[in-house]
Amino acid sequence: MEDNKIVELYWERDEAAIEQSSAKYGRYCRSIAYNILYNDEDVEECLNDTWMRAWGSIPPARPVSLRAFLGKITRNLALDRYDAARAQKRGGGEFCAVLDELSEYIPDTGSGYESVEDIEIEEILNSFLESLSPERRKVFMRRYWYMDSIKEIAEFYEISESKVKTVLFRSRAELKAVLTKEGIEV
Amino acid sequence: MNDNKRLLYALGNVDDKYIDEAAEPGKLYQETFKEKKAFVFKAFSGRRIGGWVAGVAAIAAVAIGVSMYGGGAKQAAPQSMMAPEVDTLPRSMFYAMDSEQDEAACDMLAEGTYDMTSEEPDAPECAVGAPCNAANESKATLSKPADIKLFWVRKFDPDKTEVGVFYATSGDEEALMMKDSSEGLLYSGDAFTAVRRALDGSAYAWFILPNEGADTDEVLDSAQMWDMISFPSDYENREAVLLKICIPVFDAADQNTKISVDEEGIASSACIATPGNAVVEDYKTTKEADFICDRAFIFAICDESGEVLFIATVDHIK
Repeated sequence: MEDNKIVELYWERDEAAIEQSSAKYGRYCRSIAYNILYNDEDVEECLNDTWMRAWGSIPPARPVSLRAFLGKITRNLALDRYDAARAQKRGGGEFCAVLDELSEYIPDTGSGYESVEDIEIEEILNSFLESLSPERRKVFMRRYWYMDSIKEIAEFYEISESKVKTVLFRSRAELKAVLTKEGIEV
Repeated sequence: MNDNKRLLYALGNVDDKYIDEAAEPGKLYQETFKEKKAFVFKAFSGRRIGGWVAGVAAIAAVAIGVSMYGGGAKQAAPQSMMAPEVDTLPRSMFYAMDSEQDEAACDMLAEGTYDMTSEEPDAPECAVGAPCNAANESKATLSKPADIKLFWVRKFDPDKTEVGVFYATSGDEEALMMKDSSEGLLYSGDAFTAVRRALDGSAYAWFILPNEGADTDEVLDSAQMWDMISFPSDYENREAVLLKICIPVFDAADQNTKISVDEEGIASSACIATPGNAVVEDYKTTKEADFICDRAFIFAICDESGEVLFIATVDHIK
């Protein structure tokens, strides 16, 4: 079913919207959640929460890209759940690796962004992503948004792992430069 | 929340278009780049060659004992592309042209049906100061040793050449390393640095060195590299520096063909550049940069318009 029809089902408060969302984007959302949580049980709960969150958000929301909309919900829920899982010393997956990578370039100062609104960081990130070539942006997003492993990205785009590493290395360095330029101490 | 996680949360809310864009699997590079890559790669396909350049590159790469787009030691080429089957080739073959006529001839060459006695299309004269094969003014003979030379506009001083080590993919090799120091432009990309050196004729030689951690395949995969050699004057990532370059003398041959690069220039059994004068510009700078070509690199010759006349991966020099 096309996205706009699924969205209409949400607006009509038809529970088939959840069925259709799950059928079309269940696998997509599952991979996002799994890369963060690495735990089947947590992933299932996260997906259930995703459909419920979507049900509660549409309306009033009318997403242009349902895939991105559901992906964002899943990702944010998974990150929240990651904190709870970490407290219980489980989960992590690629998320730990991603955090480690970023820590080389964007050290955790404990107060680094306190003076910067999240919305401002989002704007900086959007601007940074726009400045990248499509090739580099895709690789960056696969790693830091989808949290794919290096190997998965290489397979996804049919390039070498070393190429992926090189692209990510350069992108992280550029992100650091952008954050510094915007007055964010790193 | 720590800084990095906060950043990841913020990244989670970036524009949907970037999320959707990265959701689609498949080839990563733009069409123009893919075409260029395919252009070189086809030289080894044995089916069809995109133009003279690919044919020249393939033959020359096989002939001089360097591997082209593949790394490692000598790479087997399709039988139809092997130099020994070709006695003589029109000199014009060594010019970069994209006409249908050239493509058709190149196809025939690949199929082994090319008539070597057929009339040669208008071939430009050989480079000024570079004598062509005296035996046949209109043809260059692949079976003879190098007898055409394109001289460096700025030659290397032989007295400065030293024995050094070339870190070949198959092991360390002793090599003669040419050295020079002059103002010039240092080009850089995500995975490489490069220098361009003018030849006496309207041609330039490129030495493209992968960065530490990268390899020649990655650089050949890089759209940046193709942009750089095709449009060097538009390429942004370059800066004027006092260049201290160190480049090996490489002299490789098979039974028929010899190409060598030394202090004087590039010796080849065929003419590879049109008449003219490559421009050597003055750059006033005090910033210094080293360019030490002591490991696998990409060697290319382009004309002044950016057309690639020759390109090969040099992963060993003996």
